[in-house]
Amino acid sequence: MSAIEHIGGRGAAAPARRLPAALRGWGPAALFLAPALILLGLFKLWPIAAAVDASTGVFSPGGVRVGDAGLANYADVLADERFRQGLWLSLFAALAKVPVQVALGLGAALVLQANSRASALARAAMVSPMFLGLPVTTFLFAYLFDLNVGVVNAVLAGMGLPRVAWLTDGTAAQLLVVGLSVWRDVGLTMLVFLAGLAAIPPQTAQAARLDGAGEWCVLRTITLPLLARSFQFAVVLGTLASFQMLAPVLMLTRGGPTGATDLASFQIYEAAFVYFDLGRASAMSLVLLLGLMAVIALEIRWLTVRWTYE
Amino acid sequence: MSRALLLLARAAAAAAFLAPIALLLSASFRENGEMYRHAAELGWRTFLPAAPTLDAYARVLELPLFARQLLNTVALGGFMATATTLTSLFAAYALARLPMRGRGGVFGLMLFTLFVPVDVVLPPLFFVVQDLGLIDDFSGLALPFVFSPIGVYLLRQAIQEVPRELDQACMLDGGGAWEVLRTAIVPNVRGALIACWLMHFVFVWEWYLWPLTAMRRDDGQLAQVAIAGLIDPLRSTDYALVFAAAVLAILPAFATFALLQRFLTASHATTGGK
Repeated sequence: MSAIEHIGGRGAAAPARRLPAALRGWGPAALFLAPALILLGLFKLWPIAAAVDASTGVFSPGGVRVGDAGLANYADVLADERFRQGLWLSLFAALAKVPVQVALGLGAALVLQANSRASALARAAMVSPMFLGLPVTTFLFAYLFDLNVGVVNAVLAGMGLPRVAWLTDGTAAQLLVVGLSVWRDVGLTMLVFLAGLAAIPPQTAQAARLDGAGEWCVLRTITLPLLARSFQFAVVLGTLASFQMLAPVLMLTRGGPTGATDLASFQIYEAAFVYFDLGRASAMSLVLLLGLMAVIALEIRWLTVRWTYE
Repeated sequence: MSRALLLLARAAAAAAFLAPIALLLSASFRENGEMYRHAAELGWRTFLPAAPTLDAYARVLELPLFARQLLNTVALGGFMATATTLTSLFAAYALARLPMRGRGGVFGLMLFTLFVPVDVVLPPLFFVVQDLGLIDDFSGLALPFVFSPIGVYLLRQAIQEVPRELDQACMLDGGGAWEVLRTAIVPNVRGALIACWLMHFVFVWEWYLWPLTAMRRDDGQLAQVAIAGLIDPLRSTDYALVFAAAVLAILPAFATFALLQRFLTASHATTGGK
């Protein structure tokens, strides 16, 4: 350890002594951290600060600040029926996506954890959407669920069922956007659970089996509780991803039909880049960001890790 | 019984993911009119081309800006991967090895940015980049996403697994922080570095919202964003053209991944000092 402390002082020893205690060791470290911290400050923190500033302003249609609004933008946004509806829709999207994705990902991990060739193939298949990229995945779904040429409707019609206008029917459009998101991300959730399963030492389960516990009992009382950390991680990742459905909405539904996919993030996009109402867009951004943070904080609290194998 | 169920579950999982991708490929070898003609009744021609053709690929190559836009995606991928890996390596090295006050706080701040999705802060980010005069510019496209909390996390983890004895050996030879990084750390985290590079390279193919808003010149646009412009979900889209373009667009990402994935196995030197 002493040698390591030593490089901190190397070359920078004399000036370091004059620095206040809070900055101790920052000489060489600052150089290595500088590129990352500068970019972080410029493009992660500054936008948030700028949004806080802009959210209290009145802007001309040209984007020039013409006056102060105080907290009027927030009051305005929170009183807006459409934006409140958009926030609910964003929350419902998370509530629809996360449980389904976690259940499917966990199921897939349990079924496919065996080290066989068939499992390896199925695992590779499940992560393959990640390599298509979100835009191409969205094209693919646009085609599969197309009213006229889509394979899904051809199969429905072949089974004697009515064709579904996936993009012009409200519920169908919501299902499509959430389904696309689940299809795309479930492979990642599976990987999270596979890593969790691999880290559980096998002794506990073996001991339980010796005591006569069945497979179902082992799963329920040992495997699942020990996967708590993976659950937490999978749920938080899924929630974050559920707040990133704007790209498919922009490409496929544009908030429609009749507001069925009018997510808060879509309204933010519209306020900023269609109506150029900077104050409103910033206030909406911050409200949604706070909402997301609150949801994630709640999830982390609810899913505290109670049992570990360490 | 349960064996059969297990097999069925595996087959279902594979089919649910491979079938749509197979349809994408199949559609790219079709003729658009033929696709619409056979969509009404269910038969093998609903899924497969009656007469496979490269017509759609030929039409993609005739799109005036496609080659340029694909080059943009690949160039951005290369730049992002390299810049992100370098900045992440430096930051991760400082966070893992250089003692300083507030190290945990800095790392926490970096991870915090993971919870700020671009969908939510798109307008403020746009106006910040506009203030910097970088809208419609390659650097405006790239720079906001060079810093990657995932990259820092991944490399910090890898560096922590390198035995400190290697650092100390290098320091006994009179090496400073830079020599330690170059001779003791980098050779032993090569697997993580390649993983980080590859991940951020492939990641560029995910991009849609940011280039859509921050790049309004057609010749500077990314291929996947330009292709999205060919889709009109409420009218008759030329899907053969869209998918031929999509296949060509993701080919470089696939090829790069296939070439580099064999370097992903972890380096064994990391256990050497234990």
